[in-house]
This record gives sequence, structure tokens and C-alpha cells, in this order.
Amino acid sequence: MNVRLRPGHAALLAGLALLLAAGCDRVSRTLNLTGTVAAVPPQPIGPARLRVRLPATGAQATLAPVARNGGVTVWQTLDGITLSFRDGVLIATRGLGDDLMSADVDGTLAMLRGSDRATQYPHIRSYLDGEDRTVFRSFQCRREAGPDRQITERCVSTDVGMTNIYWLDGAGEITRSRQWVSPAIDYMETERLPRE
Amino acid sequence: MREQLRARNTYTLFVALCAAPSAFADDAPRIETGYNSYGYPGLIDMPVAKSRPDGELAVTVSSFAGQTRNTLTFQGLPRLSGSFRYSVLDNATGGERSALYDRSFSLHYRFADETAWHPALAVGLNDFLGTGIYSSEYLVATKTLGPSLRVTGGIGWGRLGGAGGFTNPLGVLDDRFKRRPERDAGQGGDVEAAQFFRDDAALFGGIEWQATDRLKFTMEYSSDDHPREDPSAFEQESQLNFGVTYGLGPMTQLSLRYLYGSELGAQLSTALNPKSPPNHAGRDPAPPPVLGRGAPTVAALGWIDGVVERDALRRDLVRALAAQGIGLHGLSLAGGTARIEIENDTYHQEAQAVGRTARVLSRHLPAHVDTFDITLVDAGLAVSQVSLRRDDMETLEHDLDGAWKSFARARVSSPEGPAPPAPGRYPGFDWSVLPYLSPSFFDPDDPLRADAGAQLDVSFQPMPGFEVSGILRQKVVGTLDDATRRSDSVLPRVRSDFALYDREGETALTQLTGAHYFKPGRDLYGRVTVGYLERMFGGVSSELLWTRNDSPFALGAEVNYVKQRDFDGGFGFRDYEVATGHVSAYWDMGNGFHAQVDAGRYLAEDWGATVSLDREFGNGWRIGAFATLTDVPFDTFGEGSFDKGIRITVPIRWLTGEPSKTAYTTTIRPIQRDGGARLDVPERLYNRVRPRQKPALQNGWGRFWR
Repeated sequence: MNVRLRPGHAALLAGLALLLAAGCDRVSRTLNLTGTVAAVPPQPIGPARLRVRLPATGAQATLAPVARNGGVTVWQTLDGITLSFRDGVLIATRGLGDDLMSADVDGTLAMLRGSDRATQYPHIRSYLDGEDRTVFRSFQCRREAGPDRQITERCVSTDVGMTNIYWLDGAGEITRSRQWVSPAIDYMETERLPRE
Repeated sequence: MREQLRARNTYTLFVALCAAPSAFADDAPRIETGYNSYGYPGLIDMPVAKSRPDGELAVTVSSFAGQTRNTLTFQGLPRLSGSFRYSVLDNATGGERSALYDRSFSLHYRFADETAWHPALAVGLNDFLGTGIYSSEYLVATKTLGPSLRVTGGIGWGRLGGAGGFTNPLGVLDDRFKRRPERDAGQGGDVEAAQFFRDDAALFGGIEWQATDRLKFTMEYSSDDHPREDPSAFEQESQLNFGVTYGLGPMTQLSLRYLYGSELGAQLSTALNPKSPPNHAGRDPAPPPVLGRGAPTVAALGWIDGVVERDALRRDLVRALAAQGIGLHGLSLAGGTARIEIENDTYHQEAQAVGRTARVLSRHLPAHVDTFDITLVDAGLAVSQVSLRRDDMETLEHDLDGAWKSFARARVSSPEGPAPPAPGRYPGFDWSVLPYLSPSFFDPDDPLRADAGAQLDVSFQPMPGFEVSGILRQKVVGTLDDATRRSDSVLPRVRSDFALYDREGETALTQLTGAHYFKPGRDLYGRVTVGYLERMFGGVSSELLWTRNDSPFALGAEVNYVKQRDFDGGFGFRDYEVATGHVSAYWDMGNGFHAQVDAGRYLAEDWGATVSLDREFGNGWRIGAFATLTDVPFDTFGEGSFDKGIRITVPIRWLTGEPSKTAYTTTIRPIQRDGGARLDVPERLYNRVRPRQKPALQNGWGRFWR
């Protein structure tokens, strides 16, 4: 039998796999395979507003409070991203992608309230890994030297570190902050907007 | 905010070739273990005693001297990788054609890790099935000598014992090791264990130097004597090979080689790891926050006693759940308990649908309701009931360990049956038009063909447990109809006429069925399906499955009577009729491994059993292999001797990061023959039921609060 060898096809398998992998996002978008869950518009429960910026992407949005539960306020963007803060300290994000699932910030809150400056305190947070399993990350934090109204917190884990900054008003409330979210999102800057 | 973030993620996807490094990567080893020309962990042609990261799936294309090897390798366990290879050898001896086409498997097992005192050790088998042109075995040791230098040495048998060979040292154990019996290749496909580690052995070795993060130099002394290729394809002047490898991306390497003193070779390998989705854990829009009962809210409706209020509440819930991609199947309120049945067509993890449903309930139900019983329903089958306390939703929403605590406090049980459906749920009608891609591999005339087109899916549910569904395919472009090879099978041609179906069925009704799903007992699930079951067969199929909500074992039985369909994909039938059926045993082995045995009668009236083993990743990726042995003799079966293959399922959600249950599955068989062919019944019960049972819920519970 006369068989022609077509070397082009030899590489095609790999090429196809590659193309599929690299191009699927675009393909599925045009085919409307995605976006099955629409963002629910926020139903604000108060007049306060929070301006948030992600310096890594330049993305920014204004958020309104949509729920308050046991000292935690959930803020939401118009397009369905929520950020949860306990007394101004970030404890969860949803809708960002590499979301912070939960965080124990009791140590940070105690530090902000002015407990002993020299002590280290633990900080634990959780994420989802690529297989939907909960992964906990444990940090050790301490307050860095600095002014009382601009408090810098340095936290280290085995292979990552974060430096969060909180700006306080006279009543000790956080008015501005720079807080680390996750490896892919990096830092988030928040600012309380004056009430209108 | 969201749009801008999406743009960035798309960019990431393109740059990283779908391979996101894990979020908190440990320090990577300084010396990158590469894939050799056979596509398993190695130097240039020789192996190393190292492994790639667990779960990695790699494609390697390597070419030299008119020979191209395309290898798919899966690091299925941290120590064990398996490879499937399709090679085209130009000018090789032993083929009856000008080019030789060969499919082969390899296994590479690292049985000792490197320590300060001894090297890593690995053993491997190449081409142990089939015609065996790459047939060889090896034992290899690798030791790291510094931050950027690594040496490897080993001993090979078979093809790897060809150059510089000496009498097999294993001969001291038994004289049988001194002779490698000729392969009775026949139709190929037998496991040639009688050959393992036989005949002359030879030593090989090499050095790897990682010059920079991206650049690596490799030198090796090869013991491969190329019995089929030298001298017909090239002249082997030396056993020394030299290579340089450059990392094009985190998971993509390009290598250039100078081989055997006479040839240049090139290789490209690229990989992804199902464990590391390009979009991390997904970009699902945020769920609605839980509303505490103390909170001032617009949603607190007060006491519900009238029919009007109840209807209004139900309509509210239908709307709110639909916004989350969840269907309301049934609802009843009794005392402090709300019993709600949901259908999840959106989230891969049912736990996420449960979590979002509970959040919605907390926002809409009156304050006196303190228990949510959420039942997961599919095709009218009520599989699991998850009972949650409303207090837990309120107190655990922002808890550090809220996911595990909420699972521990939930009760998961198997309900007897569904409650009466909500008014308006039935009759249900659904349709979609989606693209399809249908590949065909390894025809020697053209090893890769494919058709692409549009597929119309229609489904109609007149009442709970009943479903009429159809799939109509229209080919748009493709080369499948170029196939000119016709089946030479001496068995009833139940599968090997696939080229005729491809050629004549450009517009094909691939499925048109009526199905009834039912629960004859608490742990029993039943199905009866009538109609055009698949592209090649139509008839009646019935199945019964026993599976407990908390057991890793399940048993099933299936009986079918089917008739072969016409090639044109229309309503007509051919003459062949067969009764076929299987008894199946399923075992969830833990850690994502699933084993299955199906024993019974296959389409060509042959009796036998199929064994399959799959690794399922938490995000829906599934990679596995299967093999079927039946009473059809290997010579009668034809090329390949028995049916076997690998299958890969890629969830669309993994690629896009958006919630979706859609997945793309492909099965790769070295060759499709008629023995050991199983009926392709749509919607077998086990894979419908299992994702909704307790173990799957537990594994996915991390997404409960997502």
C-alpha cells in the first residue's frame, strides 16, 4: 500500500492540545458557555461607601454595605464582588478569583486597639486550592515602628510575607488601608468615603 | 472591577499555557527534570531516576532521523508515570510500508528517593504491549552533585541493552535471563512479560547541567542500538548524545540535540497540571450574604399562613435561586423546617449549590424557620438530603473554619423519594446549540482526523423522573469522511464500521430517547431508556444501581436489547440484533482514585470483563485507563488483540474559571475493533448519583461558602 507520510500531523497533536488549552477561554466566551451565574445587584443597607483599588491590575470600584453579621460588614460592588471586613480588617473576598475564603484577625484587631506593641501574634487565613480543598496559611505578625495614626503590620509565613498598613482616625476607626489578599490578587487599597 | 480583572485573567491564561504555578509554590528544585525523546522523565534518549510533579499531564513531540515520537505522559502518582506514544518511523526496517506507525506504552516508577547518601532509583518498562519495537527495560540511578549538576547511570535491557551489551548479570539468578524470547507479536497487544529483563544488558549514563533557570545542557552515553533504524534510516557513528534545553515558559521546553554522531534532533514538550487551574479556584460571582434574623431587612416576610403568601414566597425563591443558577424542584414548609429540593445545573460541586441555596433561604424565609432541609434532585431522583441549622449559617458565615464546621454540623442522608414537585416545574423544556469536535486518531493514512460542527440538544421533562431527549449533529467541516480503510473484522462489525457512520452521517440523530428514572428503595436507583441510544445502536436499556450514601462501594446491573442502526444516522436499522448487559462493581478508593469492573456480554456477543482505573481531581479533571478481555481469541480480535485505551475529561470550568458543569471527554484507543465493545448508553446512573452523595459533598465542601 502506498502511504504518504505527513509530518505536519505529527506535531498537530501537541499543537491541538496547546491551542485548546490556550484558546478555550476565548472560544467558550464567544459560544456563550460562560457567565451562567449573573451578578446580583447590591441592596445597600446603609449610606456608607468604600472605595477599593487593586494596584496590581488598576481595577477600582465603589462598594456599598449589603449585610452586617456579628461585627462583620459585607460590602458589594455593582458587578457582584463582595468584600467582608471585621472592623475594617479584611477577612474574606468573593468573586475576585483567587479569593480569600476566611481569616482570623483577632490579633490584628487587638494590636490596632493598642495592646502591647512588641508581641508577635498569629494570623490564620484560608484559601481554596485548585481542587476545591480548603488550605490554611498561618502567619506570624508584629507591628512595625511608626506613627500611631498609620500602623504598619508585617506578617510572615514560610514562603510569603505581607505588609499591611492601616490609617486610623481619632476614634481609632480604620479610614484607609492597604491589605494583602492573595498571591494572584496581591494588595488591596481601601478608603472610606465621606458620607454624602 | 470585575471586567478589568477578567481581562487580566485571560491574559494569564494565554501566557501560562493554562498552567498556573500553584499559589504558594514551594521552592522549585534547581535542576528541572525534563522529558526524554520517548516522552518519559529522562535525559535525551535515556531515563533519569526522577519524576515530574504529581498530576502533570505532558505532551512531547520529538523528532530525529525521520522518526517522530508523540507521547502523552501522565504522572498518575508521585512515583509512577504512564506514557502512551504514537510514533512514525520513516525508513525503518520491519514495516511493510515505507513508514512504520507504532503505538506503545511505557511505565516509569521511582522506588527510592535521593538522600545525602544514596541516589534516587527508578525502574521502567517500555513498549511492553504490542509489536514491541521500543521494547526495553531499565534500572536507573540519579544523584545530584551540586546546585546545578546531576549525574545518572543505569543498566538497560532489550533495546536499551543493545549497544555495548554484555551478558545479563541477572543470569546468575537463572539461565533464563540470558535469552530474550522472540516476541510472538501476532496481532500485538499481549503483555510480553516473558521478555522482561532478558538477554544482554548494557550500561548507560549522563550528566545534566542547569546553566541558568531556563537553560540546561545534557550529555549522555546511550545504550540504544536502534535495531530498526540503523542503517536504513541513519548511521549510528557514536553512542554519545549532546543536548540543550530552553524553557519557553514555566511548563514548555524546547530541546535541540546532536545525536549518535550523525543526526540533529528537536523536541518540544508542554505540560499542564490539573491541580493548578489557570483561574485558581474560579471566578464565580459572589454569593448573596447570609441575612441574620435580627437584621433589619426587606426580605423578612413575617408569618406565612395563607396560600397567597406561600405562592409569593415560592416565586421569590424561584427567582432568587435562578439568579444563582439553581432550579427549585419542590418546596414545603412545616413548623420550623423548610424542605426544599433543588436541581443544580451550574456548579461542579453540589456543595456550592447547597451553600448558595442556604444563603438564599436565609434571606427569604420567615424568622421562625430554623432548619433547612436541602435535597439534591437530578432527573427526579432525590439523591441526598442535607439538613442545615439556620443558626449555623448565621454564626459560621465568617468563621475561620466555617467550611469544615458547617459540614460537621450538617446531616446528610438519603431520602426515600422526592416530594411533590413545585407547580410550574413540570413540564420542563430545555434546548441548546453547542459546537462539537469529534477526533479520530491513528489511521495510518492520516493519524489525526476530526470533524467539527453544531450539535442541537433537546430535552423535555413531562413529569418527575421522565425525560425525552435528543441530540442532532450537523457536521460543518472535517476530514473524518476521508477515511478509506474498511473494516476487515471477522466479528460482527459492531464498532469497526465507524468510518461508514462518519461518511454517511453528516447530519445524524445521535440520540433520541425516552427515559424513566426511579428509586425503588432508599439506596436503589433505576433507569429504563428506550430509543436511539447512541450513534450505532438503538433499543431498550435498563439499569439498577445500589449505592449507599456513605459507602465507597456500589453495585449495578444493566440489561439491554439493541439493534444496529443504519450508517446514515437516520431512523432505520440494520439486521444485527444483540442482547448485551453487564454487572458492574464500583469502588471509590479514596484520594480521587476510582476503580470499576464491568463483567458481562458485549455487543459482538462476546463475554468478558472491563477493568478501569481513573484518577479524578477535585476540580473535575479525570484521567484513566481501561482494558477489556473477552472470550474472543486475540487472533480473531485482530490488530491490538484486545480493547484498551485511555480517557481524559477536561472540565470547561477549569479553563474558564466560570461555574459550569460542562466537560469535554475524549477516549483514545490505540485501535477501535469489535471485540469487547460496550453499548454507549446515555446517562448511566452511577455518575449521575455519585456527585450528589456524601463523600463527594464532603470533598467539595470547601466551596460551600463560595
